[in-house]
Amino acid sequence: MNAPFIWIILPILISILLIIFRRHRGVIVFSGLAICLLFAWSAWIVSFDQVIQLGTRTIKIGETLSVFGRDFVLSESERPVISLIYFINAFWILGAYYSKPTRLFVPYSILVVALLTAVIAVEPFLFAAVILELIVLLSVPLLAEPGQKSHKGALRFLAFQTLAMPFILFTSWMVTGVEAGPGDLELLSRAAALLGIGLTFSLAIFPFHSWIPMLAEESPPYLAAYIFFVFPLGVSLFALGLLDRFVWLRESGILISIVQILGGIMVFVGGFWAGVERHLGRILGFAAIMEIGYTLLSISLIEKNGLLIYFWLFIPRLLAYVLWAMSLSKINRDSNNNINFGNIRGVGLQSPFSSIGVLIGNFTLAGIPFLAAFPGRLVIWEALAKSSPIIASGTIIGSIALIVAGLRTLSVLFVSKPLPIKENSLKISPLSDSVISEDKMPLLETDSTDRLEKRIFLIENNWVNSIIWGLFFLLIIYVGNFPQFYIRILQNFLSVFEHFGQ
Amino acid sequence: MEINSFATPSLIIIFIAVMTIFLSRNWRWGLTSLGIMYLGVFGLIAISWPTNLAVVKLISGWLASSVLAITQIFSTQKSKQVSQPTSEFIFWAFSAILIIIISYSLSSSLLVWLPIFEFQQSLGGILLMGMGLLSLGFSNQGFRVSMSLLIFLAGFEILYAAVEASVLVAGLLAVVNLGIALSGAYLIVSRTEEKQTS
Repeated sequence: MNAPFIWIILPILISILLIIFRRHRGVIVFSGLAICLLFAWSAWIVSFDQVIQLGTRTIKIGETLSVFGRDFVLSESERPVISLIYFINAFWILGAYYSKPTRLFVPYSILVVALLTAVIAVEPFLFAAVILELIVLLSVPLLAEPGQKSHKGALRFLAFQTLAMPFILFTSWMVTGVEAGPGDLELLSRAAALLGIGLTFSLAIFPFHSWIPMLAEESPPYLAAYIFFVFPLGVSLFALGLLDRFVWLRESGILISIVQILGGIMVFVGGFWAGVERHLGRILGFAAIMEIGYTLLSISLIEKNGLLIYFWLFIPRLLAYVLWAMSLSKINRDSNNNINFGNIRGVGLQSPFSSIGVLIGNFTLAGIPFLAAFPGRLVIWEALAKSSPIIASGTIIGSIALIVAGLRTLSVLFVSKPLPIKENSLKISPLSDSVISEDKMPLLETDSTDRLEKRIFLIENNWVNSIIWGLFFLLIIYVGNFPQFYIRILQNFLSVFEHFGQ
Repeated sequence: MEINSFATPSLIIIFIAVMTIFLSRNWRWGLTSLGIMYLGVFGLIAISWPTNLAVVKLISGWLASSVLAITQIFSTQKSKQVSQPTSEFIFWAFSAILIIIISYSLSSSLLVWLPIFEFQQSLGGILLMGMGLLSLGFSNQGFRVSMSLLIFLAGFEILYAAVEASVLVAGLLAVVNLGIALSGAYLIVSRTEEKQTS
């Protein structure tokens, strides 16, 4: 028995098994949730490469699995990150009950976390680029559902990620030479340039970010948000691994400055475009671009507790993305997959919880005080203000622009006059599971305020959905106001990167 | 007979195949040429790898071409054979010539920097990567995008084979090639179904 088998091979087998039971949505969601929590919990408590007493038996979980002459190694120091990845996925699976994406989402997400674990485990480390490409290939069919107006976002996502892989793989060979002769500046600069190009494609760094808003517009919001969260997570862990392993990269001042400038540009540009956008999905996409920018900024502050900030940002980001995406999915379903401002006027009166969820997600990522992301943002802004006031100002302007996007959304959802109600659209969209009884139907023919209030209870969700929505809402408030409770846990993650964590 | 003696014929095969893919808008010609191109890719990879491992590239390439061909046959797009204007042909021809000149120039520089490559490998690899990139830049449909990505990856694999002979990576890259073809097939089919229903 070894760790890569338990946390990579076993989840892959389970995900294949879950595909068979995909027709039962509730069963698959809650079994997927239980499986992810079990893997997260076991990674948290079980020590690798040590003898464990299980009743009368003793077992030892090894660290290495050899496949075709190459090793997958999960070491003791990587346990917290494995646990974090599975824990994060549990939240996404929970949100899937509310948002009702494709029935393949749960097996797919378990497969993705297994592959993300493989990204951490594979040796040589740079072979992870191929595994990231496999995640992309698995994602394309889910992102490009039949019936969508266009698949250009999915195609561009596939193209950019495929272009990234060769650059990173070729660097893997070059860095071996750099390690052998670190004084070879020419080789070093070429390796850094190739790696930079690869990571720029892979992390959707400006100017190769265009697939994000396109995907956010065309694809189901929950799946798009999942990709926006999980993919940068995998690539950024990979990039941090590179910085940790190669001293010549870590000590390159120019590289860190470039990363910081790019991060600042992404936060500013993402926020600006979100502020002037009129499509709810694309606003989420631009917010995702901002988040990648914040990830880069935290990496650039690596000498100033940047690693802690990097992990700190994950929890608020996760909560905001899931709440935003699951609420947006509900609005998207009820609006016949058209979430342009012109088509969702007054939807807040029909779906108040989902509309508030979209707004809370938006304002959380903008860094509004008392919401989850605010403490982390404050630390970043403070650190940036000391080293680069221009970049700090740019990021604050970006966040203000995202607040503007939220206020515009608020105005459209709650203040604008609702569109005339078509009876058919309220009977319910084809994808929705909500039911309106026939005796209540006459109620829908008029548009008075009291009737609208009654409609809320007809169309809004069942009690399980309310609990899930409430849980995310409370967690966002809690994390925003009491960050000290989970920052202590985050200290465990720093040991993953042996040079940064010290 | 040494495997190196196949290097120049392989390069010629690649050159003819990729020019046909590039200049012809007919998917049948394109996919046939893609299959032939993988013969040349196999010839150049076999210089660095054992033949039994290099065959993996050939088979995975042929499988990828077959997946795209089958999808095209069953999609309604087969009836849409649009004739190619002469101006478009000239534009593509000039673009291809430009890529050939750049590839020749770069391959010489690459040989100075990394003498581990044979000249044919260097030129073949860079030529395919360049043609793939150019074709990708002008494509916005599943079929053309996946074919461009396959060409680009084939070029990369020629160069990468000279520096890395891992069975795991060979297997994973074969899966990636197939995955790109399957993703492209899925996108073609889903667009076709949509057109049929609308």
